[in-house]
Amino acid sequence: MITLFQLFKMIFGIIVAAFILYALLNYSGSYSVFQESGIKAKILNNFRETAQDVYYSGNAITYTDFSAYDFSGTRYEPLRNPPLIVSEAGEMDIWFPLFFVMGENVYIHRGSLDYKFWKFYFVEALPDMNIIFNPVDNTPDAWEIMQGIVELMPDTAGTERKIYFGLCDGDFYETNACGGKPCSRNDFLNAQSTFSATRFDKCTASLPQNSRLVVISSGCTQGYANSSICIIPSGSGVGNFYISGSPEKFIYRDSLDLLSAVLGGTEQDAFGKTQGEKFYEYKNRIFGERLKIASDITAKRSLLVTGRLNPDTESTDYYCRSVYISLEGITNQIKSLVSNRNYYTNTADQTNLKNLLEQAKLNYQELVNRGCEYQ
Amino acid sequence: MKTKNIKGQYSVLEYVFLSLFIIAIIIGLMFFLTIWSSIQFGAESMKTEWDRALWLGQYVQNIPLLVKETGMFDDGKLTALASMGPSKACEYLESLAGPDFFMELRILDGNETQINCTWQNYPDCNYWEFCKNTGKKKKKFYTLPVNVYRRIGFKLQETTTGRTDIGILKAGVY
Repeated sequence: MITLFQLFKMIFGIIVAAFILYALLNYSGSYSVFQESGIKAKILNNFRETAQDVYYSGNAITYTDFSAYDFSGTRYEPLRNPPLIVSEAGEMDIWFPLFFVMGENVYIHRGSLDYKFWKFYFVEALPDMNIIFNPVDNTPDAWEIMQGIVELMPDTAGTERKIYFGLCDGDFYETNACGGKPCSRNDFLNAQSTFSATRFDKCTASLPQNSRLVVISSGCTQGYANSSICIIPSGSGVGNFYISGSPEKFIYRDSLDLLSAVLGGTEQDAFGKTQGEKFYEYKNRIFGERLKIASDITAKRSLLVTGRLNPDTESTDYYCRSVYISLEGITNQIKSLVSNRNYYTNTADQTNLKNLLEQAKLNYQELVNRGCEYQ
Repeated sequence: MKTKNIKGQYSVLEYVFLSLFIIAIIIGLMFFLTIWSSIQFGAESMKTEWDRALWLGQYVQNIPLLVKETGMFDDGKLTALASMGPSKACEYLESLAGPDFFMELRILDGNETQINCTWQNYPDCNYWEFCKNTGKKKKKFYTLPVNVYRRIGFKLQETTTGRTDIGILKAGVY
């Protein structure tokens, strides 16, 4: 016969056990989420440190830690000030030029644009991907555009990463175009002359995952080709391109303008803005900000040094002075041009900037040639 | 009968206290784990501040805006930047490296007097300081040896040539 005390113990025991079980389950659930967030934050922080090391050293590396957890909710917001990597573990600011596309394993590589008086370094952190060109206009200008884009990408030959380049012709996409194997950067650049003999039709092939389609055609308009970057070749080096999903017509001045749009791709955010458009704007903003500082410093430094050189016409310094004065004038013009934050939205400004940068480069090279400056 | 009742009540109380004791231990354990995680998190953020200070020290030695090559500052670039005035120079640097940042560079030229580099006294100077904030304590910084390329290194009769000096960089965060 069960006593009243035993009944009490049973009921009380059940209530206490249920409470403890509930509290423990609840706590362990929260604790594991907290711990996972901490580990994810650490992985992202390590990624930033690794990318920074690549920025300093120029030595490329593969970062594999993203494969340990699900980072599918992580996104890169380059247009925030400062740019952020946003994840459920928090936000992380980025202070160096970074083009980051999330993937399980990313290859981190440093590229640069060399203007002699100043170098613009940037870091690309990219997963395995295929960049597929469709040169509908098979002209030297079109091949020059492709070459410019490919040269800024990493060469993954000899590594486990697979960043490949290919060509699309109508409904046919050649996966093994370089001697029966996929083309890494250098393979593609070396094999260019054999490709350029072919006539290419507009690409309609179904492309592999993680592909970026780049169409080069003078017929590009908005909606000309789906899910692609469509570039109108230009002999002057300044031209227009379209990004599928973005209503605007963009202006390119250098290969990085195009590459940034290609890497960003055509995926849209909740507001309908494509990542390609964001990367393009980011590139021009950060490039403009840094160029403004570089040109300001170069102009002042040129003036500073000129004032300390020997003014005697017999002196070898004399040959430096005139070039320094010219460089000062050009870099001041560059500074005032890029002081307008929207400099990249105007074709005339872009053309002017391209010419000025070219002149500044030549001037600086002249200083190097005359022994007035370092390489 | 009365003794049996009291004994029964003691048993109930004993049971209740035992249960409360177990619950208290569990709550204590949770509390301990939470505090431990918070301490770990705090230590991590402290490490992040030191990491940032180290990063800044490395970063400024690598940005082409200030250097001739990695680890070698260009005195002309530094003086040009300093001549823009402290607020503009700092605005420029903070746009590159983030807020609450400072850097100092002293050339080890055997001169005990510290001479700030300006437009007027260049190249006869040995010190640059950027983002000085007298209201804040320099919290975390690293002191690193660096090279400094001096564009007006030697003034010879016919020409002016460069030279390289050794300097000490102090960079960190407030």
